[in-house]
Order: sequence, then C-alpha cells, then structure tokens
Amino acid sequence: LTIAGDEVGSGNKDKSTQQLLLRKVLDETIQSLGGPISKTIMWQMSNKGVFSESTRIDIKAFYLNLKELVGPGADMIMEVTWQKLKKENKGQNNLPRSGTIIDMIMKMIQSDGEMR
Amino acid sequence: MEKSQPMQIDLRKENGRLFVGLALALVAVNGFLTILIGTDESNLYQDATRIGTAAGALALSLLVVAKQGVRGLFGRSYLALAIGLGCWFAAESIWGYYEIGLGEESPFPSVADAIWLASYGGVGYYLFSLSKFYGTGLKKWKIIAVAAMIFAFSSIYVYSLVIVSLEDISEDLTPLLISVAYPILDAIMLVPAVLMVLNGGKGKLTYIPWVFIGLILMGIADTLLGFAAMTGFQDDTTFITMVYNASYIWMAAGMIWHARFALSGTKMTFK
Repeated sequence: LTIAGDEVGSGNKDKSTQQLLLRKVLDETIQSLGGPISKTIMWQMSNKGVFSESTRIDIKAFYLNLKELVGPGADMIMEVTWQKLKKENKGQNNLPRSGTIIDMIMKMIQSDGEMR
Repeated sequence: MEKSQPMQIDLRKENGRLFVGLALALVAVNGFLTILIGTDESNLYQDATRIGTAAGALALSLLVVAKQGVRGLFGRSYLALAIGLGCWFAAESIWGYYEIGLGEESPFPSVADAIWLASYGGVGYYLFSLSKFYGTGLKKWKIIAVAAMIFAFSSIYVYSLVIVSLEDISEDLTPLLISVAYPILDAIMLVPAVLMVLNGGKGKLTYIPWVFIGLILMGIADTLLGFAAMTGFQDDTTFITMVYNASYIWMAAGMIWHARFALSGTKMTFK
C-alpha cells in the first residue's frame, strides 16, 4: 500500500511538475514576441480564465482561445512551446511522437485535457 | 483610488471603423490628385502627397517602436519596418527635392535609388521574420503556387526591361542593374506579403493584415512605375502615385491598429 501510495504520489507530483514546466515554457514563448504584445495576450487569456492557475492549464482551451485572438500565430506559439518542452524533457524515452502538437503536449503533461 | 476598468472592445467593429477611416483618407488624398490631373501643378502635388503619406506612415511606425520597444519578435520586426519606412521617406524627399525644389527631373540613378534599395533590408526583415507568426499553417501547394506565379511574372517583366534597355545601352551598366534590381527585390517581398494576406481572416487581432496589404500595393506601384519608365513616361503617372499613397496609408492604418489594440496591455478586453 505504501509503495502504491508513493507511486500515486510521485505520479501526481510529476503531473504538477509538467504543468508548471508547461506554464513556464508558455510564458517564455509568449514573452519572446516582445513585452507589450505578450502583456496583451496574457491579459486576454487570463480574462478567458485559461491562465488562472499555474498548475492547472487546459492546453486545449488555451490553444482555442489563443487561436481566436492571434489566428495563425497561435500555431507558431504552440510549435515553439512543444520544441522547448521536448528540449526540457530530453533523454526521456516516452516522449509522444504522433498526433497534433496539442495532443502531444497533452500526453506529455498527462492531463488528457481533463484538468479543468 | 479605484483602478479604472478595462474597456470592452469589439474588434470586428474596430476593423470596420479603421477601414472607413482609411477609405476617407484615400479619397481625400487621391481625390485631390484626381482634380489636378492635366494641370501644371499635378507633378508637384504628386511628389508632395507621396512625401506626406510616407511621413505619416513613418511617424506612426516610430510611435509603435516607442510604445513596443525593440525586443522580441515584434519589437525587432517593427523596428526594421520603421527603418524601411525611414528610407522610403528619405528617398521620396530627395526625389521631391529635385522636382519641387530644383524644378528638374530627378536623375537616374541617384542617391534616392541607393536609399530605396537599402529599404528592402528593413522591409524584408519585417516580412520574413513575421512570416513565422502570420504564416503558420500555410499549405505547401499555396506557397509554391504563389511563388511560381510571382516569379514567372517577374521574369517576363525583367526580360522586357532588359530588352528595352538594350536599345540604348551605354558602357555604364549601373542604370540597367538598378532597374533590374527593383523588380527582383519586389518579387522576393511580394511572395511572403501575398501569402500572409491569403492566410489572413483569422484571429481577432490578425483578421486584416494591414501592413502586408500596404506592402503588396507598394510592389504593384513599383511595377507600374517600371512599365511607365519602359514606355518613357508618356502617359500621366497620377494613378501610380495614387497606388503609392494607398500603400503608405494602408501601412499607417496597420500601425494604428497595432499600437491601439495589439499593444493595449491590460487596458482593453476584446469581445
């Protein structure tokens, strides 16, 4: 039981670490567009409620709202985010390799889009 | 003190408002030139309006740079565009100085041509760096088709230009090389500009790619000017000036849009 409990505990910790990493990488990517424009994007995203908690990001909802705001720019942001996440998780053998970028990010953070 | 609430903005309505403002500016500037067609003052006011509209676009681009800074993808890109617009304004002013100030035809090639050619550096940086943002998701066939069409047209155009120029070729090939450089550089600029416009119509902030449309108009105006030069400027060139004015005014509209909404920070919420 203890072992099982530890496994579950470490699994949750891993999930939350990946969520924090995702938030950090998303922040960095949006920041790389430039200070003022990133402030606008973050503000609009916060108003949609998709950025309210750093450990519970619904990446699907985030992407859809971002796409509604900046059109094709959303795909660039997700592509750069995915590349950075892959770099941060370098050395891990279980990196997802198929599906859309959103699917792969969801698999990586193990949220399956059900966090919110 | 109570913090002021962010304004609720309907960006579709704002697109419409800016479009109306742009149309009014175009009618005012180009309508004025239409009235002057065939008069002695026509050339003078054509130069003056081009300098004026280029100055307006430059001033607004500097406002964007001041508001946005020069860091990040957008900061660097808009700085490059401001440099390009600065070159265009300087070249238009030099051209105008010859025609308005000295009352003679601007020489070819002149310092203005060197500055015009230098502008492609800044404008090219803007176009290609922001293509990553505005152009994601473009289908390969679309990219190939647009590039093929533009380069096919450009090749025919350059070929005609060379044939016409060979009729009175001198030992100095500089004028021919400069004449050929413009359409080649324009073609290189037009490919991403056309693709970004084709990829438009998405996103509240990016629905109308204002600056890219302005840059397409610039390419069209350059092409028309090249044709006029090939025929020895025998027809009235007011229409070409109108397209240049339209180009600068579209770019100015793009700067207004970017400064007002993309850089609004926490002041607005978009509907």
